Amino acid sequence: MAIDKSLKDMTFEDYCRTVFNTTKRYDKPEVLKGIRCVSTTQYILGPSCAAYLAELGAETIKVELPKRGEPMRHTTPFNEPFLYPLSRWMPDKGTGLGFFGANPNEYFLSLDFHKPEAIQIMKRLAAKTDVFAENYRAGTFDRWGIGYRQHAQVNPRVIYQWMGGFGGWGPGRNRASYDILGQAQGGCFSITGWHKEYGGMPSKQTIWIMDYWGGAISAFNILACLYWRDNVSGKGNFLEYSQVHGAQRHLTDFISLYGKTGIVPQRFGNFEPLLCVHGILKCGKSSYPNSKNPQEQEVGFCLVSAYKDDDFQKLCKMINRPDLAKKYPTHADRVGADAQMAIYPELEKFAADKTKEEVDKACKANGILSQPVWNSKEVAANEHWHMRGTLQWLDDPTFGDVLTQGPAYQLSDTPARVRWAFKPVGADNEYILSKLCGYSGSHIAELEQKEII
Amino acid sequence: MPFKDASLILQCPKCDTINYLDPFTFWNFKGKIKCAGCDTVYEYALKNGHRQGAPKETKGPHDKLPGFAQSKDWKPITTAGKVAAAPQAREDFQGKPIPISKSIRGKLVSGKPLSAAELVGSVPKIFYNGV
Repeated sequence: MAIDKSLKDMTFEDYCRTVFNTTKRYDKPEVLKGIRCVSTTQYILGPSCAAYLAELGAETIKVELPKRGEPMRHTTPFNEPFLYPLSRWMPDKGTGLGFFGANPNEYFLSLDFHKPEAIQIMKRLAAKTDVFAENYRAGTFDRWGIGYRQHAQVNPRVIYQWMGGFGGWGPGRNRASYDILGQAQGGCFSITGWHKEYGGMPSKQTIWIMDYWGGAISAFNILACLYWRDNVSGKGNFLEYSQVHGAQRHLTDFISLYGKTGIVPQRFGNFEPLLCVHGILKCGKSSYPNSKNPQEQEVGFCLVSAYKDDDFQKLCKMINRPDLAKKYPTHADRVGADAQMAIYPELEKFAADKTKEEVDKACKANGILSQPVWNSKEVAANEHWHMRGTLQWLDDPTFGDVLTQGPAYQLSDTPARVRWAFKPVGADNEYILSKLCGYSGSHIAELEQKEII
Repeated sequence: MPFKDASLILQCPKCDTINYLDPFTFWNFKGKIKCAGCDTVYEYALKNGHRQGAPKETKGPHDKLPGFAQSKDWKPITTAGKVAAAPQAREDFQGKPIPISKSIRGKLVSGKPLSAAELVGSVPKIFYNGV
């Protein structure tokens, strides 16, 4: 973007507000326009990879089994509502909200890979595709004749991203994976959860963090390969992403600690093994005691960070316990497990008759860093998120008024965007098959009749 | 140890068919498996995904079928009765939707089951018609 005088003289905040203006997002070009991706992915790991490319403007075609679609469409939290229809063949069935967030902007094609005609269609698509993403069990597509080796013969420029649990070779390769399995084997759960004094149980992360993280890693590998193909080699690439290895990549200092000392790091709950005080306090009162919704009646929690010596002194003064500041004056005095087990309960005594907002207010009044632990309702109601377009009410062409996440990053000239949340199974069969395969309407109708699409 | 001996594979000593044993069913298994190529039944045991010995030919009905299989010349074997159907989550259960037609802020959303007559292509008529 050329910097004109009006922009040059702005404050930095106004400059950002202007060049990232989210209301102009849909008027600007898309950075991956012209790149085509075929995604035969399911659940979250693979779909999120394809979705990140689609948010940046790649023409992303998701291929699913006819009529029912991929399993994630049938996965939804407890009694949450579905969005209808699942497909034009099943209008009375809906897509569960678990499908949200991992499939925006995609075109939806249905294909039954068990039929030879479907394999032929996949080969036609591969010939006209820049990126191919799949997360079937290792080697499945290769066996079916539509893996990288076969695609590269018809399209040497194709970038083929396979994502899976344990990699394409090695004794563990035959295991299918989920986020939870990857985190368990990758070592993440062993350090997430409660201190032994609090029961000692590991705790899983409720969101599928290793799926979304793996999707992001895979997407940036694809972008690197697009650069290499278009600027260096002219050739495609075969990429493999293993969820287990992605999980263990998160362990960072815990692995180094073991390598250096033999110490196996343990769970520390809402405390922090490297800093004290730097954790989450339980507050005794609910912020919404009169709410009809029992989910809102729970007591609150507040993050408090006061690990520097003078901050800790302020915190002790705030809770009227100057004796603690004297007993634990330095970081080294406080950071040990025994000291932390003595300090945090005293802080929670202070919070026992307060809401999370009251604890937060007291901390801020004393110059201590704090933040109430927000729930989804509080996040969704936050104006800051909506102004920046990371949360948005979307007038979805198929499903109507839905609240969804937008991209968490900003690009001034080529912003990412959500155009639609997702579509029913096979919604774009005619569009894709006529445009990319040259099929006539009657041919497409015949494929539908034979349940190939 | 050859790779095939350390993983969830039973390569038939008689016909060389590779029987892939899906982890869901065979991760910890002791019993009889029928080869998808020649129908020979083998005694086989796996513990934590590792086989506990070579397959031993036996008689009688099999306990489980391999998840999928391929012949010596790389042809997949998918015939029902030769290989097992893929393990499924409960197909009869898809959650308990709460039908809604308005979002939390009171605007139209397609949150209730529809009939075929309520569709235009894949789009609910209410949105297609702008009502």
